[in-house]
Amino acid sequence: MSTTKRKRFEAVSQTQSSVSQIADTTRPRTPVGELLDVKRLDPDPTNARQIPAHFYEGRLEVDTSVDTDVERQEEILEGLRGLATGIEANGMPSPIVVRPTGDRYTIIMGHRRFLAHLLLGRKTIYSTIAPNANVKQLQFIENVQRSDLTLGERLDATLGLLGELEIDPMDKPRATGALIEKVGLGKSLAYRWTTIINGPRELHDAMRDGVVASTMQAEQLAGMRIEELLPALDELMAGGGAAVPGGSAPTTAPTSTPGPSPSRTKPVTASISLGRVHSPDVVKKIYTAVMGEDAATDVDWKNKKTVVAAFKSMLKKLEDQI
Amino acid sequence: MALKVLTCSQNKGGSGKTTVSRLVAEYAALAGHRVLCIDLDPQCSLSQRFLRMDKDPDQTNVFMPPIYPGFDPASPDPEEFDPEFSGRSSAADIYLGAPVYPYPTNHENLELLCGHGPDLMRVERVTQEDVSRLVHHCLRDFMVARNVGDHYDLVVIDTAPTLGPLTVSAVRAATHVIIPTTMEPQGVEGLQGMLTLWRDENARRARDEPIKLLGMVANKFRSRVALQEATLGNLRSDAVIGPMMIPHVLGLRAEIAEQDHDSVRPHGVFDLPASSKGRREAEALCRFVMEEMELAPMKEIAA
Repeated sequence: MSTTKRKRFEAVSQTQSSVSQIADTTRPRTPVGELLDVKRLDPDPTNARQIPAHFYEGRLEVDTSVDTDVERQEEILEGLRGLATGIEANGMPSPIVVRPTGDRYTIIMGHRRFLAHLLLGRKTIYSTIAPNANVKQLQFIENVQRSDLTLGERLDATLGLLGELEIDPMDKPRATGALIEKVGLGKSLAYRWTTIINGPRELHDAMRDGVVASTMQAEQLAGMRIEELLPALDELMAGGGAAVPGGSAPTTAPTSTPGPSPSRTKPVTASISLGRVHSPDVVKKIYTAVMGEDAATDVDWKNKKTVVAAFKSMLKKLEDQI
Repeated sequence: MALKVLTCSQNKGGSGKTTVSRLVAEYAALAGHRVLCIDLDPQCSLSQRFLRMDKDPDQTNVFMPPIYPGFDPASPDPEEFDPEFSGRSSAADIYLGAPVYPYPTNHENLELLCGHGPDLMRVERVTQEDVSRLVHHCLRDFMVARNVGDHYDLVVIDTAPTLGPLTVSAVRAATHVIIPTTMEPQGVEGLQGMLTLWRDENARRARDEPIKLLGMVANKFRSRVALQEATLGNLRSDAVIGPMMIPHVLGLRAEIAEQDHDSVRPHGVFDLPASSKGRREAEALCRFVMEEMELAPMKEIAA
């Protein structure tokens, strides 16, 4: 056998390199979780990102009482169906993360994958059990990477994270540092969020209600005095969430971030989720007990949108009074 | 014991799928396991190793399954056969919803669902929209629905040299897969598609039922041929591919090819003298396969 020939063939061919690359992708990289019964898993009610869907008698249903934006709900459900198709075709590359709660488990990360498994009729799901997980931090990291998260949900996720880290949002250097170091936000974005969370409660409510469109807009609004902010929000509400009226270009540099205005109300440290109900009668009972029977007669209890609005308004009045 | 399903696949032709399928099936049957062979290759090469196929009177180049033993087309026994049974059964019937009857062979413990080219090609022509429902899951569902595991210990599936719907269905039904390949550029090229298919199938499965790759086996290997030795050496020394290479090879041996001749039936490679190199290589490979599949290998083959 010719030595030259042998040497020539000993060179690794392009095909072999390609086979090697493909073979390399077959090696397991993700940690294998434990197979848990889906019946023992519960979504985390404190997750800033709530998915307005649940399973009822084997069917995926839209939760219209939580989010009245039907278009957004449909988008999320469509996404869940797509995710289920992907999991069926390609499996789930990484397990969901859960925390033990008594003899059950609360989902920290992977609520959508959990719903997709239910959609596929799967009885079990691979899960990493993390008893001591930094829940809000993990959820924040997962949530901020999503494009479909609303501004209000991002706000609540940020406040929840700082709460878990026991950082006062008014301590701007620490809050900014945490957002940069713990969750990897860029410097400008971290400063922007610190400014926003130190903004007045009216701004936060407007963000949750979808009146404010972007973090840049929210940052601008956060820099206004309360007497400027309220008319600005009114104008935005009337205009369907357009640009800040009379606003200048958004600022992102730390030096241009306005300090807290003395006229501002105290920033909200965290919101409390009051859970979900399916029956308007439950809301009616609470509403009647708090607001009185006369007020309850003014509400159309058959219209879920009206019921949600009435309940929100009741909560606002209560909060103002207390 | 849970049913073991070995799919022998490689999308390059002439790599030795039929040879490896046949060797493993015969060896396992000789070891006392109940074996079912399924021939999904429209060329029906494996079927012809075990059965005398009929020629299709309308298409001279087509083989068709013979009339099932004991089936009288004039007056079929209604107690023994399904009223819809035509008297000929092929692996394509699994997909077409027709009655399925595995044929006995000359080997004790070994039965065969033979191929039928036109019907298998008909199955392959299913539309993209229906392929998953009608083909990909079909063989796996069939094995569960018909309790194949109650009747057999091992199913060996031979596939066509493609990555088409039937091959996908064979991989989906498999618990194990083996990839024969020649030590030449074309054989190595085929590994790309096969490894991708295996990887994608594993990814879609639950982690408690993965499909195990037994490995890639060098077939028709010729020592002292620079290209073959260098290719085998390169694959074995590759950090990723190396561990996937089965440590045994099948050489290019006339005595193995001779076993395909009609005059040899019902004997096979394992009837060759114990000194035969071909038999020794085949035994080593089959013993490896049995051990990897947790099936008891033969202690000793009578010379």
